[in-house]
Amino acid sequence: MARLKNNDRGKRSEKNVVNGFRSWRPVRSSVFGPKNRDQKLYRRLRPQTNYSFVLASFFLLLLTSQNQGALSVTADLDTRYRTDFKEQEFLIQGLGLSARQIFSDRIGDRLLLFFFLNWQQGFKELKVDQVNLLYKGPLGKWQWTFGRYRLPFGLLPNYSTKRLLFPVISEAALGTDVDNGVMLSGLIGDFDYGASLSQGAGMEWTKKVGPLLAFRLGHQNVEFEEFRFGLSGLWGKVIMDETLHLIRLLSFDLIKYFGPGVLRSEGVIGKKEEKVLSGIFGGFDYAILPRTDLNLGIGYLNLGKEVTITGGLTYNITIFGLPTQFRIGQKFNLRGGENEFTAQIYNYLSRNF
Amino acid sequence: MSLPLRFIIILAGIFNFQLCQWHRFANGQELYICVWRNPERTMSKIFPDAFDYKTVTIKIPDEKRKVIEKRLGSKLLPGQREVFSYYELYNEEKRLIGYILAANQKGEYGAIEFVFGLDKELKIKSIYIQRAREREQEFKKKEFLNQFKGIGIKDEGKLEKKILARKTSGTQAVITGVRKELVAFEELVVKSNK
Repeated sequence: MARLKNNDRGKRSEKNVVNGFRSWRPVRSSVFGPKNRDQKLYRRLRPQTNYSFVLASFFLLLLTSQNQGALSVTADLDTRYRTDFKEQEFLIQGLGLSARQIFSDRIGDRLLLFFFLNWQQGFKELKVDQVNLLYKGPLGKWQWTFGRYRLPFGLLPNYSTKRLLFPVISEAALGTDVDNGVMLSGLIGDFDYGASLSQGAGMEWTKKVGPLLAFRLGHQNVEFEEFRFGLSGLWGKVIMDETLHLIRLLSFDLIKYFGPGVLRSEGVIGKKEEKVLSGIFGGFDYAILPRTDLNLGIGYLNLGKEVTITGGLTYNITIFGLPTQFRIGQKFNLRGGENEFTAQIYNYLSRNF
Repeated sequence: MSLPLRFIIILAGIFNFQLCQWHRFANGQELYICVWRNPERTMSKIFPDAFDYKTVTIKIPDEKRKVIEKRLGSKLLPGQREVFSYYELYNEEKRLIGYILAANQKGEYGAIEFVFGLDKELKIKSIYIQRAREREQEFKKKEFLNQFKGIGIKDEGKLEKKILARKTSGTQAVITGVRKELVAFEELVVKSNK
């Protein structure tokens, strides 16, 4: 384990890991330490942030410079009030802009360009959350993805909690949901697969970190998308809380739809360095009224030694043609840590061109 | 003013606005853009001979939109007014074997997402419900969905009479959604290619 620094910000991150919720969103920018610490390693891991924007600009240019393929653009805004009943904060959690462009040849969709820019933590950080190029084989039997993408591990490929109040534990265990690298994925009958070789650097561009290997094999019904499950594994080095960690994990995930309800669950077990890492997540959403959902969840991750139960409500409306969700959620920590209340307004807008 | 109080005032303001405007927005004025999550799985079921597919997106000119809305007798939903998307299916010899239309329509508990295929004679091959959160499940039954098979693009006007099912928000949404897709396909693809 290579320790990069141990200053106050580092300690705060550790505290967050123990106390949940915020720890499940590690602040990536604090990964890279001050210049007087471990200069050699720091230089090796230093984020090459400029590359992100050069790449994103290049993709943006590609998306806007031609008009032959199908283009989808989405923007969203996540505003939150959060309190642990001692401290409180009111902030723009995220402002996102994403675009997806399909390029087709005579008989098929062949190239898909995708980027997702995210202004987070009250516009303090502009991150390239995802930027990738996907080369697609016939009927998606195989496809190569290059760039920054969601890792094929646990619930991550099928369920994003970036704009939700209670994140899944695969993200908490890894400290990220995305990484830079190359991935082979596709479909064989009712099965889907994904295998990725990446840097373990999350939302930063770095030099020679990792490698991080991840794979997932999943199954899904076709008649009606009511049940899907997957097995996944992950091995390699990943930067988390200012430290390079060797991680070995296995995961099982499932999603089950039934009428107005949906159950999502995943479990992870493995090792982070020499410590055993285990955790389980269960989330249940149920439409109690036509526009109102009940959201329940339970999360356990042994490293933080916390068990949280969460409950919330989501109300869906449209204001000036803008789909909007009002969400409130309460997290109870059963092991004496912080309880937390969050209220969220989430707006999004999507358009095809 | 404290932060929680400020937040509550903002929320109250928005809810107040919403209550005032309820009728205006409650009648299906959500954004209905179709996001088909796993197209390939269903494509292979509907067209087992398919080798590959191509996404086609067409801009809807104002005059065409008016024609479509007139034929339907109702306005197109937000998110469906500007562009129309469908998929062309090809076999291994690179010959067109049919089309797939993925759509969604307002149900009681949100959008009902469904997918259906049209063969080269422009008749419905089969239809799948992709996602829905309705409490009643009538619209998911095989007996209901199988009635769509063989219905041609020219039969869209008789759809409500041809499909026999218990009248629920789900069955009505699927019938309306299929009819809307057939009319849009005829106006924007078939007539444009003539």
